[in-house]
Amino acid sequence: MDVELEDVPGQLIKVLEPIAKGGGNIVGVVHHRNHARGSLVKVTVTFDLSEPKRLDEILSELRKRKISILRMGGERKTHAMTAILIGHVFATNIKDTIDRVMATGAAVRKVDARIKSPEEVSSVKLIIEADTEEELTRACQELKKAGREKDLFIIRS
Amino acid sequence: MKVVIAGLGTVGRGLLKALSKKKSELWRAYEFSPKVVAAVKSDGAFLDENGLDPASVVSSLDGRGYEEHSAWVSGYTALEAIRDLDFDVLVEATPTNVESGEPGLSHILTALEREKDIVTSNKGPLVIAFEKLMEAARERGRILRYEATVGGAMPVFSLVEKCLRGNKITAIKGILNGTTNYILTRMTYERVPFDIALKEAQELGYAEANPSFDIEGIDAACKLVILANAIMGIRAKLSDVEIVGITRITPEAIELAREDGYLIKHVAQIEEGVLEVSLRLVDEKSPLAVGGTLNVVSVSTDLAGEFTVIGRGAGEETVSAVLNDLIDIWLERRRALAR
Ligand SMILES: NC(=O)c1ccc[n+]([C@@H]2O[C@H](COP(=O)([O-])OP(=O)(O)OC[C@H]3O[C@@H](n4cnc5c(N)ncnc54)[C@H](OP(=O)(O)O)[C@@H]3O)[C@@H](O)[C@H]2O)c1
Repeated sequence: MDVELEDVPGQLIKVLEPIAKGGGNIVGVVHHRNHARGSLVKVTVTFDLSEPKRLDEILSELRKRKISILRMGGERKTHAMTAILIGHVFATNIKDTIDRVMATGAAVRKVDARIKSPEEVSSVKLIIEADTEEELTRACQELKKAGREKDLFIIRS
Repeated sequence: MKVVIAGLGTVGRGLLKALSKKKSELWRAYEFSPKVVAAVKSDGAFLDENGLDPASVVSSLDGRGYEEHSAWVSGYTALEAIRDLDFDVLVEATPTNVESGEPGLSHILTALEREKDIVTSNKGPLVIAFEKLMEAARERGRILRYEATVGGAMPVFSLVEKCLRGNKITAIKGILNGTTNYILTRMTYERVPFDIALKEAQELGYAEANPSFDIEGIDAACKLVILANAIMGIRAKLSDVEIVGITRITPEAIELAREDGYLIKHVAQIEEGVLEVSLRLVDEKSPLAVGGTLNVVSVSTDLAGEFTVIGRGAGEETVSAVLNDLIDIWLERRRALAR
């Protein structure tokens, strides 16, 4: 869930309280300061709800508190893509490759590698998740760009 | 209807076979009784202004010594036939050339100048000069049909033109080359390495001795160009297609994909005006997940949603598409005469 909050101390608790009271288990909180609108900042709050029926209760309490909800997602990240990289993935600094993908805002959720020998090419699977289609497209473009520079062959979903 | 057939390989010879085998059905169903006045190959032609006996031409080609056939004229060319003979429809089935389009391009242009209708299975001329050919046909009120050029036997153009009138085609995705699909399928299910799978494809006659046209993705890209021009109104050329071949695939990549329920397929697609041929992860439950030498085309439309055709992309089955085009022209001309 994305909400918009005043970027001052004490605001976040206004959101977290109703979620906890409603039976939600808070998994993560991310402030998107680069998405700031004046003094308002976008905050992504991720939570699990064992009784989904209680979501309405949480939402009505948030509305009572005049919290503006920008987006509700059913899952943590709603857009996913799998990509398999073939080439000298490690020798060309896999950490840099992943960092560049993450810099677009997307998350790399899983890395799975098949390495035969240092001389031969390796095959590496990445699962990339993003909040929006656009974010995923940006991540994909960045991955392609890195792939071109590092002579990695990319097969994506 | 008098027909000239240029090219007597799998397609040309297969058409002669079908005409002979289906003679009475074609007459009963459509009153269609074409006369093949010339059947031309690279070193000469079978000629008969009253119509060849297709069965005898086929058997002389299948055996040895076709030069002994009474209708054989050594050294007679397709261009001569197209320029000089009295006929109605040219069937163009000579080898594909995507650099010059020849000899097919000259065959088709000359036939159009002489106001003949055309059926082509040769994609070369369309890849090189789609608009020019369509324009030439339109100017002269001629019919130019090319169903066999994409997806062999499976209907794509006829389906879109006749059954999806009023639709806008918004995207196309498919597997348009049976050779690469065969190789990928073998690698996936039998764990055969790439070079062995390629060799198998060559031994089975799916791949040419020089397989680069298939495995580098050029053949699929040519078909994508025809699809873009013919059913999406995109004036694309071969150089507009982003092409990636299949040669860099690894068995490990196939394994990694399968662990997540994906197959690696050589997918040709047109989306938002971008033409692309590349290896892609395809959900194993997707309609695109066809195996062996099969071809598949998924078309997205604004009214009908998405639909998929799966079929034989090459081989003698291709004759089916050529024959249907030929019958189509016959019916259309007969309707025009009746008006
Ligand atoms: N086979 C398929 O599955 C398939 C599917 C879809 C589309 N197509 C296309 O259809 C066309 C024909 O395919 P195919 O498989 O039948 O080809 P093929 O077996 O290679 O036969 C080509 C034929 O064309 C003749 N030829 C070559 N140059 C000629 C010329 N200048 N004038 C007249 N004839 C000439 C050859 O003569 P000789 O016999 O003297 O060598 C041969 O008979 C190709 O463009 C191909 O891409 C084929």
